[in-house]
Amino acid sequence: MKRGLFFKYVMAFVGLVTLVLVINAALDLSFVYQDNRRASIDVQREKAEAASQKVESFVREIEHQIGWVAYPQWAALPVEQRRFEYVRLQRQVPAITELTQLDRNGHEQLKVSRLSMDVVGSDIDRSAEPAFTEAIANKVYFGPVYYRKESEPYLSMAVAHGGRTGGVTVAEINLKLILDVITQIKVGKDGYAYVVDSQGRLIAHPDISLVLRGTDMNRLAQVAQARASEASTQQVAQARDLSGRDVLSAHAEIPALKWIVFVELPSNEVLQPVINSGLRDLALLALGLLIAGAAAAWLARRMLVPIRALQAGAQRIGDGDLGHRISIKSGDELEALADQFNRSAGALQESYETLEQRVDDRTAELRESLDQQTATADILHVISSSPTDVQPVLNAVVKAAVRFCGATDAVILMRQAEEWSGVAHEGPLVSAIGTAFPLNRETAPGRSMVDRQTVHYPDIRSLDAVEHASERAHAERMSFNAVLCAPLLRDGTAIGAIALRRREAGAFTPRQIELLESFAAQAVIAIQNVRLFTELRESLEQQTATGEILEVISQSPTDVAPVLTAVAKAAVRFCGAEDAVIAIRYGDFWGAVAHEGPLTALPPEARLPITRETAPGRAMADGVTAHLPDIEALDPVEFAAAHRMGKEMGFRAALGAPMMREGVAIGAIALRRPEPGPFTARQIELLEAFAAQAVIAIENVRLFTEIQEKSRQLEIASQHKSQFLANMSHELRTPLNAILGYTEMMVDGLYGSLPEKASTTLERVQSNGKHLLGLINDVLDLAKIEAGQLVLAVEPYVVGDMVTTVLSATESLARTKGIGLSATVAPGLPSGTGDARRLTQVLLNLVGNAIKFTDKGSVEVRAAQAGDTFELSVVDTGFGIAPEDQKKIFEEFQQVDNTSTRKKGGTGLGLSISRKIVELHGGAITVESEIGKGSTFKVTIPVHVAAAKEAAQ
Amino acid sequence: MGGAAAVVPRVAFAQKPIPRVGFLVAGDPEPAWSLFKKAMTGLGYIEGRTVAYEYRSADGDGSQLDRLAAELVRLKVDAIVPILSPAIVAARKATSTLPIVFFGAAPDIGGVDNVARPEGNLTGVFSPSSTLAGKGVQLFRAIKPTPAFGAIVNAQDPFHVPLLRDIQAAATAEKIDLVSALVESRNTLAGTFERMAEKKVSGVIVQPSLGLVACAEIALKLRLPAISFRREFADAGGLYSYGADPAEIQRLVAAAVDKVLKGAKPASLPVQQVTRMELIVNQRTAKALGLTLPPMFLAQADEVIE
Repeated sequence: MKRGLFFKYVMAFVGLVTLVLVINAALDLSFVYQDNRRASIDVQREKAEAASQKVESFVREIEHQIGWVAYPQWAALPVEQRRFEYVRLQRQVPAITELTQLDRNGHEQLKVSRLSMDVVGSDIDRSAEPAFTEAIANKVYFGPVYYRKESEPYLSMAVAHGGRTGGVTVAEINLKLILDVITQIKVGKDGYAYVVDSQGRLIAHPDISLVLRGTDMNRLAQVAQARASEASTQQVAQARDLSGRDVLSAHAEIPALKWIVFVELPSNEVLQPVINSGLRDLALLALGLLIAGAAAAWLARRMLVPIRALQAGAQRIGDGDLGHRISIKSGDELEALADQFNRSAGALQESYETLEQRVDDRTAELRESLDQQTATADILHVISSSPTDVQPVLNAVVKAAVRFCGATDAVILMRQAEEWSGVAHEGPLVSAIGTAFPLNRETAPGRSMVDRQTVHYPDIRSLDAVEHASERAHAERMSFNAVLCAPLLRDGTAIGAIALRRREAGAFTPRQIELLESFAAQAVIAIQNVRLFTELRESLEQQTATGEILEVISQSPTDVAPVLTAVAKAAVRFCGAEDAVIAIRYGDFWGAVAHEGPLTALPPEARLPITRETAPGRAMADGVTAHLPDIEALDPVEFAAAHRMGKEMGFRAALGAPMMREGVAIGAIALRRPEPGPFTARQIELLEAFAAQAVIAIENVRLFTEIQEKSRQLEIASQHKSQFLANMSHELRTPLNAILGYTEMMVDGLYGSLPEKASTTLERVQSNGKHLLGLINDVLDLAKIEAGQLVLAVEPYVVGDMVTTVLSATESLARTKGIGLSATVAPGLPSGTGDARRLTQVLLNLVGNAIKFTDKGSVEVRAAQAGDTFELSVVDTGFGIAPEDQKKIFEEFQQVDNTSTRKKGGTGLGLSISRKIVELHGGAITVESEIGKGSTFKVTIPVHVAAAKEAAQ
Repeated sequence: MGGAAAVVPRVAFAQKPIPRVGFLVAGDPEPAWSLFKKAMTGLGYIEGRTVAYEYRSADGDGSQLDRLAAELVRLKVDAIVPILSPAIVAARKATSTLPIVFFGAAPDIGGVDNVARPEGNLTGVFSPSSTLAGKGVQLFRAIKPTPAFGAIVNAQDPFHVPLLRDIQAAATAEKIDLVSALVESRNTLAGTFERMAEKKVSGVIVQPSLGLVACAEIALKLRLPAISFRREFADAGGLYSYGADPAEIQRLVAAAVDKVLKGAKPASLPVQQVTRMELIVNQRTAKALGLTLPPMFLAQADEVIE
C-alpha cells in the first residue's frame, strides 16, 4: 500500500500536534537562551574584572615588596648589606630574576641575579634609560614586556628610593610566574583567562607554549578591537579563540601596565542549559506525537476497513484472479463501487480468454520468421565469405530451401543459352545435375524461366498430360508429386531457377512461396557478386599488363626490341594464350621481331610477302583483326600459307591484330594455338590493346631518334655559324683598319693639303668607317661569346673611375643632343675585381643607348653597393619600352621595332653582348620602363668575380 | 509499527595500545627517574595501565648511550626522554622522527637553534647551567679565599666546552686561576680528582654528567671542597649545589611528554627554561672540611643539610 488514506489521516493529525508543540518549544528555547546569555555575560564581566585585579595585584605586590628596600637612606648601607637585602627580596619574590641598584645619578652600583654572577660597583651609566628617568619622575615605572632568549617574557619594574640620595631599584620580573595567577582564574568549566600587552603580544596564558612562542594575539578580533577602543569599559563579545572555537569573550584593562586581561568561555558551555531545555521539549514533542498518532489511527481505522476490502478485491482481480468477486454490504457508495468492480472483472475475463489464443498464433509466426531470417543471414554470410566461387552459396541456398520451405528436395538450375541444367541439389530425390534440358514451357523450371514467374504445381498428376508431358515424365521418374519453381532473374532476364520438390501432392503455402522467391533473389545476388568480382579482377590484370608495358617503354626510349618482347610476353600472359608473335612490316614484306611461347617461330631474318593467307598478313593487309579459329577447316587455296605454317610450326588456330599508325599497318601481333577453337571476345579485345601499345612503343623510339638527330645537326650548324662570324669579322676588320688608317693620314695632311670638298668627303668616309668598325667589333664579340672564346680578364677596378670614363666618352654626344648627363656614385664603394674593360663596355653601351633614345630631359648613372654586389643603374627620360618588348631587347639582333628606333640605327647587338658579359661575371641585367616616361637599366654584378672565368658554352 | 524508543548506538572502541616513553639517562639516574615518574603520575598517568616506560641508564658509561638510544628507537617508543647532553646527542643520532623531550643543555651545544620555535623532532627543558656555574664560583669566594679553583668536566659530554668557557669567564672576572681537567672515561675519574687535589686548588666544580654521587664521594674522601648544579650532589656529600630545582625540571619535562603523547608535534612546543634556582648547602660536609660558612652565604641558601 502506498501513501494511503490511513497515512494521510495520521499525518494530518500528527502534523497539527507537532506544529503546536514546536512553536511552544521554540518560544521556550528562545527565552532560555536569552536569559542564559545575559547571565553568562554578567558573570563574564565580573570574572574579567576580577582577573585583571588579580594580575594587577600580582604586579603591585612585587612593587610593594621592592618598596621594602626603596627608602632614601638604603643607598648609604654597606654593600654587603644591600646585597643581602636584594638576595632576601629575591627569595621572597620568586618572580624577580635580577635586581639592580642605580644611584642618584643613574649609575649602576649593584646587580644581583639568580642566573649570573653578582656585580658590585660597575658604575655603568644608565641614567638615560626610561627605567631611571620615569621612576625618578613618577616614583614607579613599568617597562614594556620583553623576551629573554626570544622566549621568556620579562617586565622591567623600577621603583625610586626617594630623597636626594635615593636612587632607583630596577627589578627584572619573569612573567612566567603570572601563570599561577592565570591558571587559578576559573570561568565555567572550560573557560580561561589570558593577558596581552599593549602591543597585543601574549604575556600569560594557561598554555605556556603560546606565551613562549611570542604569539601575536592581534589576529583575534576581540584583541584587536579591545586594543583599538580607548575606553577601558568591559565589553562582552561573541568571538573565536586561537583554535577557532566560538567563545564568549570579556576583557578588562590594567591601566598602569596597559595590559588587557581577557576572560573567555566556550559558547557551547553557555548553550548547555539551552540544550537541556531543548531535550526536554523534544521529549514532550515525542510524547505528543505518540498520543496524536494513536488517536489518529483509531479514527482512521473505522473509515478504512471497507476501503481496504475494496482495495484487496481490486488487487486480486488485478493480479489475474478474474473469477473473484468483492463482497461489501455497507449499503453506501462503497457497495456500489464494489458492484461496479465485479461487473468489470466479468467483462475482462471474457476478453482475456480470446486474447490468449491470438498470442499463441503470433508467437508461432514470429518463431518461424526468426528461423527464416537466420537462414537468410547464414546465406548472406556465405555470400560474403565466398566472393569468387558461387557453388558454396548455391549449396547453402538449396539446404536452406529444403529446411524452411517444407520440401523433400531442392534444386538450383542454371540456364545456358537455350538449355538448362542442375547445378546444386539437396535432398533424397534423384537429381539431374549435369544433364541439359531444353528451355521450354513443358517443365516447371523451363516454364518459370520462360515466363519469368514462379510456377506452382501442387499435384503434378492432375496436370494436362499433353501440355506438361515432360514434367509428368520427370515426376514419374524421380518420384515427386508437387513442385514449386521460382526463376532467378537478373535485369529482367531469367538466368536460372530454383525448384522445390515434394513426394506427396499438396500445395505450398504462400509463405513458402514468398520464401523461395527470396532465396532465388539471394542466389542471384551471389552469382552477380562472383561475376562482378571476376570482371574486376580481369580489368585489374589488364591494367597491370598495360602498366608494365608502359614502364618498359619509358625505360627503353631508343630500342624497340625489349618493348616488343615485353608486349609478346604480356599478350601470352593476359590473353590466356600459349604463344604470341609480333610481326613488323618491311615494305611489302613482313618478318617476326618478337616471340614468346613454345611453338616454333619464324627466324628473325625471314621475310614473307604481305598477303591475306596468314593471320598476321591478313591483319596487315586489311587493317582489321584476323581470326582463324580452325586453320585446317579453311579453304586450302585462300589460306595456303596458313595451312603450310600451321603444319610446320604446329598450330591450328591463330588470331592476328594489326598495329596501325596513321591508318597504315606497320606490323601485327598474333596469338597461336595448337588446338582448333575460337579465341574469346576478351582475348581479341586484349590483343588489340597490346597491338596499340606496341605501336606507341615503336613510334616513341622513332620520334626519339629523330629528335636526337635533329638536335645534333642544329648544334653543328650553330657552331659553324659562330665560327664563320668570328672569321668573317676578323677578315672584314683587317682591310677596314687599313682604310681608316689611310683616311686618317690623308685628313691629317700627311699627303699634302686637300681641297675642302675632298676633306669633307674624307671625314664622312672616316666617320662611316668608324661606325662600320664598331659594328664589326660587336659582331666579333658576340661571335666570340657564342663560340665560347671570350675569356674575362679579371683585375681590380674602381667603380668611380669606370663611371668617369664612360661619362667623358659620352659627354659630347649628350651635349650635342642637349640633354643632361650626370652620375651619382655612392661614397665609400670598395674596389671590385672583374673584367674592367668589358664592364666599361657594358656601361658605355647602356649610356650610349640612353642618350640615343632620349630626346629631351636627362640621363643619370648611379652606382651603389647592395651586400656583396654593385648596382649600376642608367636612368633616362626617353621613350620607354613597352612591357612586351622588355624581354626581347636582350636577344640578338633585336631592337624595339618602331619608327623612332629604326632611325637611330645600330646592330641590335649591344644589349645582347652586355647581357652576356654581365652573366659571365655572375651578375644580371634588368630593365624597368614605362612608355613615354623613360627606362632604368640596372646591372647587378658581384663585387668580386672569381678569376679566369671561362666563357661557358 | 515498531517501538518509538530511540536506541543509542553502542560503539565498541578499539583498545588503543598504551603509550610508551623511553627514558635515557646519562649521569645519575636518581632522583631524575623517580621525579619524572612522579610528575607523570601527577598528570594522571598510571604506569602499566595508561603509560609504559622503557628505562635505559648508561650508569656513567657514556659509550653505552648510542646503543641504548638505538634500542629505544627500535622499540618504537612514543617519546624518548634523554637526560643530559650525552643522552640528547645519542637520541638525536638514533632518530630524526621519533619525538624527543630532553632535559639538558641542548641549546648550548647547538641541538636547538630556535628556543621559541624548535625545528624537527626535538623539544624539552633546559637550565642555564653554564652561566649558573659562574654564579656558583662567585658564591664559593664568600666561603674561603680562592686563589685557584678547579673544574672537572666530562670529555665525552659536548657541553663541557661552553661550560668551561663560562667558568673561565667567571674566574677571570673574579681574578681566580682556573685549573681544568677533562675526564676521558669513568675509570680515570678518581685519578683525575686526586691529581686535582695535588694542585692546591681551593675547591672544584664538577660537571653533572660525570655522575654527581660518585664525584661527591670522591671529593669528600680527598677533602676537596666541591660544588655542582644539582641537589643530589649536596645530598651525596658535595659542599653545595646551585642550580635548577630537579622536581621542577621533571614537572616541565613530564608536561611536554604529556603533550607529545596527546599528539602535539615537538616543533610546536617551545623549549622551556627552568625558573626556580636553588642553593643547597651541606653543613656536615662544610664541618668535615673545617669550613665555617658565613651568615651572608647561609642567608642565600634555600636548604641547609645539617
